[in-house]
Amino acid sequence: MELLDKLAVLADAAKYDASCASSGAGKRDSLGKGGGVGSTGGMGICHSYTPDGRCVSLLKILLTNFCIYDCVYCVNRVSSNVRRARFATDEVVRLTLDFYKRNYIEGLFLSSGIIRSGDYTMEQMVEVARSLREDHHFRGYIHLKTIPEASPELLAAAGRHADRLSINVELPTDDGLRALAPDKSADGIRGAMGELKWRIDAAREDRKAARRTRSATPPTFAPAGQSTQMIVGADGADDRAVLDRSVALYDGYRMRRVYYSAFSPIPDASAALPLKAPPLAREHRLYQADWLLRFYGFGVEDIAPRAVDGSATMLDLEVDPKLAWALRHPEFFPVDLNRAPREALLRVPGLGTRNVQRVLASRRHARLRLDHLTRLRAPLVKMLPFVQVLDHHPRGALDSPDALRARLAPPARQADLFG
Amino acid sequence: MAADLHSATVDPPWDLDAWRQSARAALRACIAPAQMAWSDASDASLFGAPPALAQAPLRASPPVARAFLPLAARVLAHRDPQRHALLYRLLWRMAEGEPRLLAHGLDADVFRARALEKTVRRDLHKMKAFVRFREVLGAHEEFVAWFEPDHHILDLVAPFFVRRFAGMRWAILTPYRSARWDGSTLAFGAGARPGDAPQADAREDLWRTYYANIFNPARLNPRMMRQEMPQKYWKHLPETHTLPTLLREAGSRVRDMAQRDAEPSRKPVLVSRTRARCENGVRSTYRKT
Repeated sequence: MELLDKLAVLADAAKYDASCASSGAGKRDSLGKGGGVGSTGGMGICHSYTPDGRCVSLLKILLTNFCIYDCVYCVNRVSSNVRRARFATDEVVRLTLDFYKRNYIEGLFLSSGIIRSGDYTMEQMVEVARSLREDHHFRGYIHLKTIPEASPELLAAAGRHADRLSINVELPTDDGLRALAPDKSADGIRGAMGELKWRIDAAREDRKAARRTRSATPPTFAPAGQSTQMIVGADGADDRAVLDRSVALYDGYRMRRVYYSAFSPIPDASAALPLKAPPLAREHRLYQADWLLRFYGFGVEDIAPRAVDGSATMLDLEVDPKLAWALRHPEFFPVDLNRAPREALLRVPGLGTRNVQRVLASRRHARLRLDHLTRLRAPLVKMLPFVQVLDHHPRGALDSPDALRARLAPPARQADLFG
Repeated sequence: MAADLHSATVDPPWDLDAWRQSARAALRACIAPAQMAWSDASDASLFGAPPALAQAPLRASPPVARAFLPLAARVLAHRDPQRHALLYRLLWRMAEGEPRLLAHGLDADVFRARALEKTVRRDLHKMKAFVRFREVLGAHEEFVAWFEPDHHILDLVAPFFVRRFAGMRWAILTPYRSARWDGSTLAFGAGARPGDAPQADAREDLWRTYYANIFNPARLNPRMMRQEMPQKYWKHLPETHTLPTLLREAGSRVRDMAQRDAEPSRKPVLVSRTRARCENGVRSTYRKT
């Protein structure tokens, strides 16, 4: 098979993975290093955008889409009829360098179907990363998808070369995993995540200790940490279950990111899957909820309170989760932007963390008025019913949350193309 | 009043040191912002007004907030003709009793400066993202890119490319200025024309193939794509040549997938779950497709 064909097959097979982040690797560059290319530093860069609106930051490919597993949601499962291909490790190395030198990408995100065994597959992936780093002095970003069954030695080698490692939790509940990914084990996945967390923490501690004692710096281990992905809408888990699992992942394994991937129709789909994809809005609301949990001081119970009758708890698709909370809690508002503490400002619909900073800094210089708010570039229509400034008070706007909701929710849109 | 007017010429107009010299002299000579007329090198309309640089100092330079100079460097890169005057107004106000002015993000002058800075930052970010190098035929590991930034940002962005591509030889050509890295030194030169850069690169086919296959037609969202990758950049990006086809065919690709749902798998699970866990023998079944 020609390289061009392989690339077509193995990029196509990788597109269901949501992660594209190339951030968090710390500062590193090639200047004065006697050869090689590559740098990382803080924010990742999106080098292109595809017509699905997603960022192209990394060369995201599979080493091979041959796979011995039969996960029903996966286009590469053993029982699927897709075209198969396999890269040689040096082909991936060459592609990564060629693309990088033309400034197409920030680095490589390598994943793979399982061939022969977890260890055999992981060994090949680690070899790609090793060759990039050691043979070609590549200092760009490397993200390796880790195979939970791989041996600890291989995980250690993967972390030495990669900036980020990830293991997909796949589904929000263990029952879902048993039903849809019979070859995978929830305990095995958790065990491997725990092992990664332990190694990441240990390497960080060692480096801190070395800095204190001014001894030689020990090697890094996945300095950009670990992330994971959950498929939403392929099993019956509700949003509450998804968010509970996220909190457990953030707290238990110090995940840098949990990605949510709305189950997408795949060619040659299994009959065990639901017939229809969940609305993309669901994925979007979950990301918003995830942000509220991590940066806004919200708890899961605030965002997705359990229904008293035990029915499924789903996020409101029409209004964002912060606005939904505000409409359930009119007694909390209006918030006085000139006096309220940071935690209260973070609860105001339409006011993001950046703007909260701006409000806090600016009110030290002047009593805030409507005129100041217009410079926030925040959605005023959404914000004004919930805030008070020198020359504005929402009066009765909060007396009837239902009417307010009707005013703020976007008009119903046409159902999606094939809905 | 014209009689009180002082002039300052910033050359080149994006240069922090050039602006700073005039601003410092004007501040020390106590020339209020309304009495200053700023101009680019090309602009001769202020002929006759005495240059601020020549005025005798009446006071020492007041201290300036540390955050001001990086802000000024980025604002100067903006093409807005008012930027020199705006920066001087900020400097003047900080010296005249508002030392913490920059923290007041909702003040009209600070807000304007931050808005210009934000535009320049975005331009910088997009340039880091959308520059596309092409290999020079016949040369070993030498690359050239043609790019048209909105603002005068080449001097600000070039160090990024130096750090990233230190091990290559490269040049970035723009209409107003060019930057060259020979592996050890960064040099700036005159502006160029699109024809001065290579017109193709052998790897672009691979890149276009990748781009066409990494996108999911079931999630079409061209509005988002245009917002993040405005059309004005498309001419620099080899991958966008495939866009019309990708957009046109997305719908039918998704319908094809949906229809295939109904078909039974042509290769029904050949390997039972217990056998699927065996380490050998499975690959050969699927090797040829």
